[in-house]
Amino acid sequence: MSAYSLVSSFLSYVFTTIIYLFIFSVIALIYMDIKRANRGEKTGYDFDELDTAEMLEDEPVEDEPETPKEKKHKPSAILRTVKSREAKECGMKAAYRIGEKGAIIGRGKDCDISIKDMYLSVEHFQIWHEDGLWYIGDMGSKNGTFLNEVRLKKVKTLYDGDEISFGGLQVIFEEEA
Amino acid sequence: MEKANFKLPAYLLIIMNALGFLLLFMANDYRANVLYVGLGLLGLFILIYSILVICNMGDKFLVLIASMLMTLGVLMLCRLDIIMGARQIVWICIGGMVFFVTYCIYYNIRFWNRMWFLYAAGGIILFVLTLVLGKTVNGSRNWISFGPLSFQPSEIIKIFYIMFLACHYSGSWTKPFLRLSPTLMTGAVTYVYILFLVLQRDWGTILVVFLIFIFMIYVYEEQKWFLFANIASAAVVAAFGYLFLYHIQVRVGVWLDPWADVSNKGYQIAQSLFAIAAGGYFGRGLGNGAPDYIPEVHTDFIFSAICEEMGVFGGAAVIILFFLLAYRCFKITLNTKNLYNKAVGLGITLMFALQTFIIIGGVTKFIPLTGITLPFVSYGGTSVVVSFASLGIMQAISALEARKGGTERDENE
Repeated sequence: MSAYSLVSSFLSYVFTTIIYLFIFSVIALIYMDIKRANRGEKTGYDFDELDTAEMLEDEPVEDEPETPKEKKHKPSAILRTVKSREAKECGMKAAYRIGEKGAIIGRGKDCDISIKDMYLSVEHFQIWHEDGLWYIGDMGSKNGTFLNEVRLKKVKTLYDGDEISFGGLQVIFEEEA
Repeated sequence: MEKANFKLPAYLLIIMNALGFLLLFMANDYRANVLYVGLGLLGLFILIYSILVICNMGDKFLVLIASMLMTLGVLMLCRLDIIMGARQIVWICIGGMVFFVTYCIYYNIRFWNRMWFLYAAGGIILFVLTLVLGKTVNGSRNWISFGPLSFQPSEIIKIFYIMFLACHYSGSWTKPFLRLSPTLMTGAVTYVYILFLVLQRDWGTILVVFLIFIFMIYVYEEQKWFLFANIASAAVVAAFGYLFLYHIQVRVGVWLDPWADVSNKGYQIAQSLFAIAAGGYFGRGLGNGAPDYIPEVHTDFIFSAICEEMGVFGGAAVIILFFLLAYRCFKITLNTKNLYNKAVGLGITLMFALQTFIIIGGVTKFIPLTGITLPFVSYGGTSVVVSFASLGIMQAISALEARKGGTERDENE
């Protein structure tokens, strides 16, 4: 029985190692799962819905089909996505066009620009046009909207080249002539 | 992003099983039967895991973690008594089938939330059957036997009870019954269950059922008075129990000072503590220790035996595995959008977590000891089958959630 005892005592170290390697590998898998989920790549979300927003595949920016050609000076603006891993992970397009009516940006499917990111509120912020100026207002979002790195507390005027960040994502506001 | 390696834990599980059963093969005079038993168990785990991965049935970690826990349990049981270990493996086979059956039933039926009366009635019928046909084992009258087959209805009742609570707390059941609002009705049913359990003297299950109830109220109930009223009533009942029931007095007395009557009442817990201490960090090795001194070592005290022969690290690993299991269950519960599934998921998570806490706390003398099985590890047919059934429900909930989006994006397989 002494040979057995020896083997058994030795194997107790091996068992401990195996069990902890097992635990470690499971934790590693779970960790990767969480990382994916945090970038909005979770299985529960519906990615096909993304195309409902007015969005542009890539530069150059095309005219909207709804905009009649005769009315030349209809105001419009472009939100150009700052390239980042987060933006790619949640399927943001290179740029979004905002028409005269303005746009609501958020996670909800009914938003004009719907972005599936975990850190966005259902209706996160709003951009609209009034008397030749563009305005931005937060819609009571949980994680806040930042205009040039300052948290929005009230409605602010938007100028060409302003940087808007929300939930770890950034876009540059560009006014179209 | 690095690629997830879903095969690594499975390989480790295989190595663990192979080494463990080779060791048992040595211990049992090189009888080939031991190897067949081990191969059977390993084949079963691989089969369940492959079916889950190939058919894309939701969360992949639950079964993996449960398999590791069962491996530890079975190795320990085979070492204690090879016949008992073989019987446990047969139960695990049955449990595996029950797992898939439960999965299919739960996945395909969508009206679970409308049958609260069935759950309540089912539980009460099982209780009455236990009282009439019951057999007394170790002071608790909680076994029903049909010929050679015997089972513990209280294990099944826990699942019924969770599904019953979920009906109310998911908001599917709002109509009053006999002029009692659903909130009061759930309370009434809980206390009826507890009354039956008191008659059976099954203190461990009382604790699990009541704590599940308290946690569910804490999570869901908006009227705080109901929570406080229940806690107060529990305190009153516990005080009465301590004052008038000799059994509970003994348990608490032993918890406070096991050395006062170490040769008789404190014997079990003292042996358990000796065993844990004897193990040291890495344990004495499978078969080298003497866990047979602990009464009931194969069911309630299996954790002490694991601590003795696999060390404190082995025991901590069991606790970590249960942590991971509970964590995965919580995550599935949080991600679920169906309210009924959310409530059931929470209940099952609580059941696993509380049972683990109560028995591991009990055998390490952290809280007073009450006899209850450690899910997946302890010996016991009903316990294994019911744990598998709960796991099947959890699996179905995660699969329902993952598939409903229709965009299961898993590039790892």
